[in-house]
Amino acid sequence: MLAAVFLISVSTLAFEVLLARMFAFTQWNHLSFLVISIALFGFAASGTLFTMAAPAVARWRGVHWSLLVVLFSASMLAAVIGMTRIPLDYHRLALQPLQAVYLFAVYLLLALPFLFSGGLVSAAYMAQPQHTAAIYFAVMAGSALGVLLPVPLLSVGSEPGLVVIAAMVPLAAPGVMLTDDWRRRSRHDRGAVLAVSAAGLLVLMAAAWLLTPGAQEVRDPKPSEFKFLSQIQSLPGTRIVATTADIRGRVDRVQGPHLRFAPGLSLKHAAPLPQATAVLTDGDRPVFLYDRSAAANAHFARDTLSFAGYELHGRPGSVLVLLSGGGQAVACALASGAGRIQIQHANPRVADQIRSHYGLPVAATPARSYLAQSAERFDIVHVESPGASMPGADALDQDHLLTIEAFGEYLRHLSPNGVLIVSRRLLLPPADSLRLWATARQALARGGATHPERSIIILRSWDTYTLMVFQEPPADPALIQEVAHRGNFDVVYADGADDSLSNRYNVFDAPYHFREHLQLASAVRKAAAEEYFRDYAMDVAPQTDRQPFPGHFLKWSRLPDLYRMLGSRLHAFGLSGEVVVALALAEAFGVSAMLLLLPIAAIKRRRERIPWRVTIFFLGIGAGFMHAELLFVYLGTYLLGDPVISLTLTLAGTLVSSGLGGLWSGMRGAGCLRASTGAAALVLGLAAAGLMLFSSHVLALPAPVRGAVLLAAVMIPGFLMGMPFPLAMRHLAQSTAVKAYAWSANGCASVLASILSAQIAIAAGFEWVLAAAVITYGIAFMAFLRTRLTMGTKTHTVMQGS
Amino acid sequence: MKITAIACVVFLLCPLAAFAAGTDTPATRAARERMVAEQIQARGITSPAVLGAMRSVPRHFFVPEDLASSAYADHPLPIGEGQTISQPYIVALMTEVLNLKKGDRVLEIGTGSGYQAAILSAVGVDVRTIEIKPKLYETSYNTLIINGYNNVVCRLDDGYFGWLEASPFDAVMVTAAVDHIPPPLIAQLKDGGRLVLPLGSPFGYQNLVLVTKRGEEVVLRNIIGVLFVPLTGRAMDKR
Repeated sequence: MLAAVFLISVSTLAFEVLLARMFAFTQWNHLSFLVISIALFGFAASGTLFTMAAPAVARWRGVHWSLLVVLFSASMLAAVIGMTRIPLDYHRLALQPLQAVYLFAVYLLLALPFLFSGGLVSAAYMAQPQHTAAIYFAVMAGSALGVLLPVPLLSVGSEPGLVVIAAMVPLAAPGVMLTDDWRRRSRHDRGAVLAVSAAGLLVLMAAAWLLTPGAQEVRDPKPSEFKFLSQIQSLPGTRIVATTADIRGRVDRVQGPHLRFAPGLSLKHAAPLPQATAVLTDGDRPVFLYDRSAAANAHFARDTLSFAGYELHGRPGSVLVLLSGGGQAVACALASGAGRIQIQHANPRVADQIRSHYGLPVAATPARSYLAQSAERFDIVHVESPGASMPGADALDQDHLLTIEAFGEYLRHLSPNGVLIVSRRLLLPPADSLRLWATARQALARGGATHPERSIIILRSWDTYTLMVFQEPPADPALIQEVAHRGNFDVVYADGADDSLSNRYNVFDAPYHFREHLQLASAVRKAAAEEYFRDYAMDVAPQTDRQPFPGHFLKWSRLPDLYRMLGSRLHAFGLSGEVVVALALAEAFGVSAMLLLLPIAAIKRRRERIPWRVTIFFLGIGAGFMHAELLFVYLGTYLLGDPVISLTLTLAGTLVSSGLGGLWSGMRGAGCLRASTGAAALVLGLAAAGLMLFSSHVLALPAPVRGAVLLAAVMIPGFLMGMPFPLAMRHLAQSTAVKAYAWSANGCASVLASILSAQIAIAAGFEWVLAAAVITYGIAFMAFLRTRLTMGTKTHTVMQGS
Repeated sequence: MKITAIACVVFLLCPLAAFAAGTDTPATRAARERMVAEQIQARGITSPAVLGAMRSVPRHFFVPEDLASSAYADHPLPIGEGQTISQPYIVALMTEVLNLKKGDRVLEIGTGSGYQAAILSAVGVDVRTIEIKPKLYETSYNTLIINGYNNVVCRLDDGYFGWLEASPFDAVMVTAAVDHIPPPLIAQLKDGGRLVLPLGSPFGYQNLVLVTKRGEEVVLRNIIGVLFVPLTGRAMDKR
């Protein structure tokens, strides 16, 4: 049984990681968030079902457990096929009622593996209470292995192929369990064993077939037709010339005669553009590499808005390009004739392609780590981060490139007359440019500038804007006018500029952007910036490293205004990250209520009851654990610069340490329950707060050391966080029904907390996620504050309600 | 019992049958009338030629069959290949802002479903349309021919370079998403010619850009009335 629990845990977590990878390539962040979070309710649903059928489940033996494993494997295969066959389209959700059915089918299909996996674990706790600590360790250790295994395997196999292999892994366990059961049963009672064995064999054969090249059509889901990769692949003559993959994502190099990229190109530019090669990560986020066969090919960049910063500088000798997408910044740097050009891109595989294409030095490290480790100064620091095409579309993206601290780092790396250039998509209503103006101003003020607003200039074209921040205020206002006139650009902000420069070439009904920046600057001068941010219809306050969501603009209190601005069309909200999180949260509350209330009637009929303190306790530790885990994922993303690496390290660290904590708890008595819960809250608070406090210093350390620091911060509280669950399963939840219900409550709380953490982090920052973790552990601690926990069978009697 | 069930299914499917591709029924005509009145006129489109065209072209001919029943709804629809047929109001507005006269020569970049080309044809202009994606070209070409839009000339090509042999144009309409305005398109505009293109996601909010060529000068105007209600008026009153 323990082996089965271990193997199914390996397989389940590998499935979860691979599923997230498959969604990243084929679909959108938002759909992935919506579907995976709800599918995880499968764990909780198993607890709900087993609470209702507790007396029967308690009698289950090898054949039943084996059946759960076989069903788990079969459902994983069904999930892979379903991902390919069900024509779910995120963009059609609001337009076509049938899409709701597809969405429900995907929810169900993806929830089933979690249901069967959770069912086996829950059944194990119910059937072998004496081995609770060992079961908990098997779950955690297996899960940790499941998180880690895809890391090396993704470089050699595709996600769907690995899911199929993962589905085969736990099928080894029924072999042992069924043989054991076979020996125990009489001759006429062996039919069930044979049936389950046959089913297992069939699943194994189906899995083997799915691995053959002939099954590729059924196995490998295609990216959404709205993904950039799909779109350019439908252009004639355009083809993928190279593909590599690892845990960070799939990188495709695409060539074709129709790839051109020049955002912010002046309308006065008449010459043809150079052809480009696109490097895509997960079918999107293109980086364009321009053809350099002719030296003049980069010269088109002189007519782009981003180049204005280079012109205002004069003749830069050195340029640092921080690239998270696009690629035009490299063309600008080349066109400027700078003698030294240093490029940075966080993904090593993309960085390799840029390096080999241009023959320029490319640092394959996260931008913030690069800056923390380097003392070099540049005449130009050019940040190319295009941003979303609609406010809120990238609200869920944790981005440390556009925070006050990041701007401080950029300024620190500028030479005395250097210029920081940030190029972004122009949005209406004005939001992003206001936030970045305020961010730059605050960073300048922190650096000691006496009149920071004089050092900022923003110009715009019809679809992009460029923010320029100067170490010293630019001396010649006439040059700004000249640059703007030459490129047909308008002024959004320049100290002292009047509105005659603001709406000349790219004409709006009114100079919305200019006016709004003027109002913000005026509020800042009157020391009324806080009031401005409070009253503006969108959240445009500067972001910090503790709340790094520069794509977040929604104010719930102003939702009706935003609805009106977006043309009073509900489906337009489908692209807003915050709305998707809220939707997922509402769904999660609904599903949780159903899963927790459904078994109550069944339990009452059996004259049993679930003590509310037990429910509160398991809800508390489930939520606390998940809040803590996600907090460390956020902090790890800052330290390591990659959410996937952070997620992998954090999960593996938490699961291993919790498993060890759980194993150790097996040697402790009931008295340790309250102490371990309180200690978990305390140590978690200290470890996370310490990491937050020193993270900016840790950033300057080499990557392995940063990883080790994160692991240490995760594993110390992780050990304590692993103790309350198995202790409570042993000492609080003694009846089989209560054990199953506790499992359900823990599962519901985990899913709810994972969604809630995202909402809290976006709206209030990481400190509040930590507070939520500590508070929920605190609630669990308080649930039994005045109860003696040295009872054993006495608790059992109380819980039986007799 | 069986007959009742069949009758129910037939009854339920009747409205869908009315929107079947290739047939223009009183129901679809009524849907078009409602679309024009509620989505287009109500938002300020006044050009009789544009309103007439929107009333006459059966939009449901140009959408995938499974979405035909939503053809007259107030939103864009996917048509395959990652492309969309624009919201009816956007189509009307893009046509109106070009201020077309009968006999004008218009170039459309990105034929897509062919609906916009059909509307231009119904307005009475000489339409040239270019589509780069072979599947979309084939479908839209067939739809336009079958439904008698004979003054539309289609080409399978890269619209980036315009249509030099047919230039200069009185107007150019770019219906595909672009990050910059292709210089050849501006070069192929007549003096006083106009170019219109949509900005933003078709599923989010969209903004139109109107470019006017006057001699050597190129003036660009953002038409934000598409869907965006600027931060003026009531939204700003709260500040």
